[in-house]
Amino acid sequence: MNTLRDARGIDDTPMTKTYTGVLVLEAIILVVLWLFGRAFS
Amino acid sequence: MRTLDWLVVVVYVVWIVYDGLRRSKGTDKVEGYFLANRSLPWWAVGLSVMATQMSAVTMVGTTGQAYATGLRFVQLYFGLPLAMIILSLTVVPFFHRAKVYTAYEYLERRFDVRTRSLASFLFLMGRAFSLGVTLAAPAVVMSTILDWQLPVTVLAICVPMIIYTTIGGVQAVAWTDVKQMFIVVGGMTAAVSILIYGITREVSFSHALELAGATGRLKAIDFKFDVRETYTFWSGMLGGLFLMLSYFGCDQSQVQRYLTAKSIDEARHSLLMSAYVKIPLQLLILTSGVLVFVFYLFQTPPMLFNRTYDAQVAASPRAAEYARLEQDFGAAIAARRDAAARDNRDAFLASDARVKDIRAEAAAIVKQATGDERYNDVNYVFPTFITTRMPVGLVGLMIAAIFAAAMSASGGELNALATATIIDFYRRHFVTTASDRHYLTASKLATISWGLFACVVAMFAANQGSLIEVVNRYGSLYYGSLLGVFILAILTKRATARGAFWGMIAGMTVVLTVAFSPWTSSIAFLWHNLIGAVVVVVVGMAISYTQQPDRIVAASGQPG
Repeated sequence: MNTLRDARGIDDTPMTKTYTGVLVLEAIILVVLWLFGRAFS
Repeated sequence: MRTLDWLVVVVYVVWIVYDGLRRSKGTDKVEGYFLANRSLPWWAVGLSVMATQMSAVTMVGTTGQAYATGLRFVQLYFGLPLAMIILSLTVVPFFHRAKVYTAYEYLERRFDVRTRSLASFLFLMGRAFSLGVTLAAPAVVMSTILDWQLPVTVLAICVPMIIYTTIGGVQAVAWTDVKQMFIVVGGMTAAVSILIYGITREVSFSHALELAGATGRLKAIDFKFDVRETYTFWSGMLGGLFLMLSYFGCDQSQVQRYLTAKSIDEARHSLLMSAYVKIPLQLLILTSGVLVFVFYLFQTPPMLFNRTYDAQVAASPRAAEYARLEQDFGAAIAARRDAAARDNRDAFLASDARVKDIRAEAAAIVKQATGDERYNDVNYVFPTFITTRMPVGLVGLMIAAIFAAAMSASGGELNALATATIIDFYRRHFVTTASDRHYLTASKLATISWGLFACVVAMFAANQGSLIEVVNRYGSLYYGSLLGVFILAILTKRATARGAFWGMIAGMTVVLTVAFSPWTSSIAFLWHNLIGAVVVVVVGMAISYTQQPDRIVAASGQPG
């Protein structure tokens, strides 16, 4: 049975977890920066 | 600069050139010279991507801007992580499968040769001037420090970089980028450590943060929606997103970096490294600028950091007025220091405003006395701190870091300029059937030529306001249009060659009109990227629907 990985090629794998990690990290940075700015204004 | 500092700088430059030359093995073919035979690991490509973007402009201009306005500049990068994800899903697999040398080569396969040539021409013009500005930043620094003439300084920086880029090609660029990123991050970390040490000898760190916060310098996020404001959350998330999509997706200087990766996955990882690291790294650099501001609350700063015109002002009719201002400045600094130490917020803010006013008056006198209307002080803040306040040895490391940043960014750009020139024009239009050896020689000559052109631009770009903004402003004039044509190419099947070409012309025309028309010139430059892309897509699709669809040629990398 063909998997998605086979169809895309061995060097083209889905990276959903990595993308989610990037977005979560950015959200955390934004919240921290916002709180930091409020705390010291 | 002491002997040890000089030694650090000289050893660094010699090492970089030597290592660059050593890397020239395997670059005896055009594919090796321009794409490293598509063999580099993701982490090296990722560091090279970041090094190409983080130039000396970032170190000199960004720190100066943070000194003046605080952390708000970081908002420019808010769109970057999302842009990297979008690019990983779209253009990265397209370009890799298409086995192209340049991003614009793909446009010919999808549309036609004139769309490719126009896109490549826009890149060449924009990037060549930006490269000049990229080189000007460290030249400004070194000219101030060494009291050298600007042309001498520009050549001192350019010549080593041109040598290793010309001989070693993209391999030399990528591997020197890796080393240079470590030196830059190490240098900035050292600077921040020294600043924190110096500040905490006077006040507690939390008190220092309160002082910086009182002046608004720690307010990184501004949710106000105003298209005239350059750095807001929305301009960063939307305008910045389009800027980053254009820069990393359509600018050959970045595309070429990830085309050297071994595979699609490795190319994606290299881009996602920036998505994770870029904002924290930018915060480190901006923090150093804010800390320099706090440091000078307790140490006496110069009235103006750019002392280039001291002698001219002293000999001018306004010399007495300038001397009086210096006395007032001394008094205002003393009052500010006193208020800061006593934690008297109102008095501190009043005296800080007075210091700011005196500086503005002094800068106005300099402009009037010297006739230099573009006189700018911001870019001199951090270099002045480095050379007057950092310990011996670390001064050399910081200067080497500025050299490193300049060389790593410009080496990649230079290599990309040569690639687009040879692949998109010389080999496509002028000499279509020559040997690989012939194209390799032509590539090296193109590298040298663009290097010399950028040197000339650099000599005229030194005093063009905040340098980091100059680079982004230049880019924003054409980036949106480039992005628009790639959106048509990759995301739509219906777009035709004629639609893409005239859409791009319309996009450029609208952006130039918006940028220079007196009615719309107040719109912040980040929005130009979005405007350009939208106009290209709308006009391009409108024209395409008036035509029969193009015959889609089945090719790898084709949308389908």
